[in-house]
Amino acid sequence: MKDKLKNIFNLSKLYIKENDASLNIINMETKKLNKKSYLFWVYVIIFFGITYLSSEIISYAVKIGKPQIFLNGFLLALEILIIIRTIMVSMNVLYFSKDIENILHLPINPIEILISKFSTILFMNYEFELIFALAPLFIYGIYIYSKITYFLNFIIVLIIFPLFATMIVSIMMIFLMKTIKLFKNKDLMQLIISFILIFALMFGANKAIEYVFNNSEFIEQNQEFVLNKINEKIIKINNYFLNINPSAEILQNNKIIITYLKLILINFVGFILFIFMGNKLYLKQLLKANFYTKKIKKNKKIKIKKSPKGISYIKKEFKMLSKNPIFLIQSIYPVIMMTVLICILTIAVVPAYNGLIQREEYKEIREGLKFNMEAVCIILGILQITGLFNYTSITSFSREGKNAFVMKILPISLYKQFIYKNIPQIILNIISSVVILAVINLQIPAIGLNYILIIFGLSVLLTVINSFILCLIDLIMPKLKWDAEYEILKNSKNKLLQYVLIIFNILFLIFIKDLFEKHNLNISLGVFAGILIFVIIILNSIFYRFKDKLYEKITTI
Amino acid sequence: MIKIQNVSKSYKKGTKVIENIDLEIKNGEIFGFIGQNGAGKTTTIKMMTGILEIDEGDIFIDGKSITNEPIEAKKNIGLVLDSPDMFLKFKGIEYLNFIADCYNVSKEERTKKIEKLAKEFEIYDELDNKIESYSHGMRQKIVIIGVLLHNPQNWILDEPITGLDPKSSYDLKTLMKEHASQGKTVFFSTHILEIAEKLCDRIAIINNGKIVFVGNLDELRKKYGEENSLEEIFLRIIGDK
Repeated sequence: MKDKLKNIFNLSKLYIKENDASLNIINMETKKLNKKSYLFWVYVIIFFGITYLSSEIISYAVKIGKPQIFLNGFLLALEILIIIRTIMVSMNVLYFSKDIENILHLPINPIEILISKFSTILFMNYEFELIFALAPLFIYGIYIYSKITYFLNFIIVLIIFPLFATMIVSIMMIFLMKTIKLFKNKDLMQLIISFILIFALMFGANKAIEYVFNNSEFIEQNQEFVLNKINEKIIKINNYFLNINPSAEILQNNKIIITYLKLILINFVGFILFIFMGNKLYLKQLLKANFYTKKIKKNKKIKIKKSPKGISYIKKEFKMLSKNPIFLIQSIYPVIMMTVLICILTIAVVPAYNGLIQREEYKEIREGLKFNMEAVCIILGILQITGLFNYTSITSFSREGKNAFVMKILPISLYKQFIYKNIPQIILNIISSVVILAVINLQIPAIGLNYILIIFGLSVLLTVINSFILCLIDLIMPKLKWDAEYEILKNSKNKLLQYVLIIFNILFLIFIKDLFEKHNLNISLGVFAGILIFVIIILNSIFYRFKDKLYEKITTI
Repeated sequence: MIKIQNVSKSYKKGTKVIENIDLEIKNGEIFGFIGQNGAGKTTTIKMMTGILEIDEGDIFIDGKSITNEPIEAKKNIGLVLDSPDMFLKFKGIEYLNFIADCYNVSKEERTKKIEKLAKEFEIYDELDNKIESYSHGMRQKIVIIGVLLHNPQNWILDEPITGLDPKSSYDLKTLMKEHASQGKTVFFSTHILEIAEKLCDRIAIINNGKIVFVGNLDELRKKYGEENSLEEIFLRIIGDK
């Protein structure tokens, strides 16, 4: 038993390193906080941002005497985030990690491999909790004047909480890998499974949002009634996730011992199920995944066709993205998800909001509503946040990896190649903007099609600027040396600069809103567009002038 | 024709990895660029093909400066590397179409060449498969077909024989000879002296970024002793013996 545990511990350590699962908050050599890494500071900022935000929400919930609304809603959100994260990482950790080939020949029991893999995913989820859940639940305890037992309980709850979701998603993954015949095509498999699971989750979220907010019974009721009703509905949804309500009950100091037993029982049953499924299915599949060779097609008629250089180059960019599932999942998938999510929220929230402001007490707000620069900036801000999840440009050069030198030997100017590399992100963001703006136009027809088109034009200009800057960042600091595709984005420090850029853009939109608040809307929009075009011209001329210098790092052979 | 004129390169200030190289590779010549690992072969090839900026001097490809007229110069270059792991997710034919588009090869010409070369290389039936499913030799062959599609005047190869099986290695050497016999230039780097001995009209030996010998093998033997093997001469030149 001692040997088994030792094996599991050592394997888990290995997998965590192999999967680059650590957030690198602590420097393992010096055993001190990794203050030199700017990733550390980004996590600090995120941590404090979440702390501030949750503190505001909790203080409001306490003020109206309904702190449990925060707790129930927060635990639901945390569970969903953990599920999404587990979906994203589990397939790679369980099936497609580099270590499998090096481990299989060792005298290690398959169950030990399975448990170590599970521990790796769990470790990733604990890190996630550390950043996203530690502070909000701590602050909650302070606001509701909890005793010391709350703080002990909340640490235990945080340890137990991700177990259930991690086990269930891992079981689903093992089961899906077994049942879907396409399993042997790793690329297609990753794509299909993530797609099915994430869309199932989105569908569920959509139904939940509609269920909680989009209800006519809210219209004629007071605020307290509405909040109570929302809380009741969240608790009902939480019932579907067996671990949320018991966790909430423990944190609210209700029937602690019985609830703990319940929680332990749920997780124990889940663990037995996980071990049973894993034992039956995991190792066999692992061997298949490892020793599968692709079927070679023979004697198929080949397609020889000619396209103009530029078109061919852009097609190559799209092919690189679409033919590689990791690139597709990492770069494009999130923006598709975000677009769908924003559309769902718009469809669910706008009618509820419309219903709410029909109430007499909001008459003043209703009459004061008008389409102005603030509304333009809010919509542009939403489109910017959606664009934040498009990682196409920020990885445009890194994606090339060992092929990067080809850019230098092709008889196509470096300037043109740079422009071509921007096209995928611009096209994808344009599609996303069209979809979101169409939904906004359907839900809020009062805005008018002409303004929707103007906002679309402005969003295209902003997209061009963003894409240009992001490509430039990746060109200056490319990550060309990678062994597996997922490393490009996972270990990319550049993506953090993408977040910084979007925050800057949102601040810029707030500035624009303040600047043009008291001016004629049409003139303001014209001036705003002029500013954006000017920025594009400046960026373009700077790049054109320094292009040779900027391509200096593209030298790999 | 390739002309390397007084070229120097430093990665760190004050430390030249390539120092005042002067070379001229004539049309119809197979030119071997020999040196041990880290001698500066790949850096020179990177500068010749425009991958790396030249600090001092210039390189001319058929009279076009790689610094001042890069696009025109690149049109006359075909580059083959030791590691042909390129565009692995692309099908062979997709890769060839892309390269042919970049070099503006007409549909008729590319159809003729792809069919001819792919059949010669016994890879035609595999063109509709992804490159990642190819063996090392097949990958090398697809890159070579890509290079030959636009019929470049100057063929530059970096350690081309590494990792090839005997048949692929023989095919490649035959192609290099054919290319040179058409009056075109073949420049290749290697540290395998036997290949240089059998294949090259002239060689240059590079050591610590400096050219220490340029000439044909007879001149080399005359200078360093005819009784010695090429291996011994090489070791003597680089100062290991």
